[in-house]
Amino acid sequence: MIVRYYFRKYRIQIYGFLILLFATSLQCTLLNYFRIINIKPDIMLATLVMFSFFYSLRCSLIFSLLIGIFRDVLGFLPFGFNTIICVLWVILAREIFQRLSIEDKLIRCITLFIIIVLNNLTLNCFMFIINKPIPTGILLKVIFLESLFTLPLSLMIYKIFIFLLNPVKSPSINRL
Amino acid sequence: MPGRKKSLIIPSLIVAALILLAAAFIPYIRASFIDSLHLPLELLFAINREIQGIVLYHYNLVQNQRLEREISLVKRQLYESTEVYLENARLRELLDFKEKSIYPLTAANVIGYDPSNLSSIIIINKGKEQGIKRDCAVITNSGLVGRVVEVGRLTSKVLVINDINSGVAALIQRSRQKGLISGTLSRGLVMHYLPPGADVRISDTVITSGLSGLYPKGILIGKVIKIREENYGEMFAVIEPSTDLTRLEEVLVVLPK
Repeated sequence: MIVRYYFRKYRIQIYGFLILLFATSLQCTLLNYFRIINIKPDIMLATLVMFSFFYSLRCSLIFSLLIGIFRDVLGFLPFGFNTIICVLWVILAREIFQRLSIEDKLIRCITLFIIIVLNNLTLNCFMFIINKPIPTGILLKVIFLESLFTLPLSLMIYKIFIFLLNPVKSPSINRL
Repeated sequence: MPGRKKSLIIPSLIVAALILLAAAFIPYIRASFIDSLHLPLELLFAINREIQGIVLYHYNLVQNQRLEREISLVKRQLYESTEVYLENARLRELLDFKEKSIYPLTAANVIGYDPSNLSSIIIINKGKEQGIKRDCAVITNSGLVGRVVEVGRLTSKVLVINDINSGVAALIQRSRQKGLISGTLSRGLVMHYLPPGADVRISDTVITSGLSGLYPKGILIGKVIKIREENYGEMFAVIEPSTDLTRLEEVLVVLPK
């Protein structure tokens, strides 16, 4: 009874956490086999943007922190870098959604594209600071192809969010 | 009249018996007889089958479902055994290499990849408990993979040689020309710092030189596929790695002696 009560109360958050885990495991395992020109889509970043779109600020910040921690744990950069920038991307995405129409697919895609570009540029700046700069050609290739592959996937993630969270029945979702 | 009828029946039965007897002895007649019965027999068989189908519908349905389940089970077992067979073949290859190798080695499975596209890192399922230390070289039976950069208790992170931050001191096996190999985040590697007029040819084998101290000398890296001129007359060679660095499943870690 207690479990059911808490599941009902935190259903949306539990689904969010499960999506987060699924996206992380997919990014680190299966997506590697779907590389095109050695570039894979960034499903974690797309999920991050979707969190800022569907969840309250507090929730999306917690999820962004978790995504950042996962990225830091699995990546090679000094710990904490991704944790900080993921939080920044959530705040930026929410700012964009508050100012523009959130129903427009194009706006969502452009927001995601901006965040992917900014994420890669920030990463490059950081690598430059720690004396490991990424060649411009590789950086441009990564930015362009990663955005190209992530955008169609983000639409799929959006559909999954809509299906799982069912905004009509869930008044706790503040964004819709 | 009845006596006449009786007298007709007996001769007609004798004639019929004679015809059947003749048919039994002459194959042609028998065949044509059976052929003439072919259509009605087919028809009867079809009717019988349909009736059986209707009567035994439930039995057939249950049996069909059972057989379908069995087929799917057998198919799954077939896939699993194929996978085990392939894994076995790969491990046999690795084991063979391990036995021939002069370095102490431990085999590990790749369990994860770096989430970002700007670095090339793999995560393996062996760590401190198996004797792995930072900077241990990682290889496969076909060549160099990279080096361990982070060690946990049960897992380790390996910087693959196609990462842009990776540098491997290498030499051309034929001419002993030295250079430094770095990654491009794609399938190819680049060998820099080749002096003008360096003796490098297409298809030359590239191995580790052991100069950096990180990688043991003589591990195969790949083959030269392109030679280009860099700034100030220096040359660089594009190397095709001998191992497919984008699809690693099992690796060997060179343990410290």
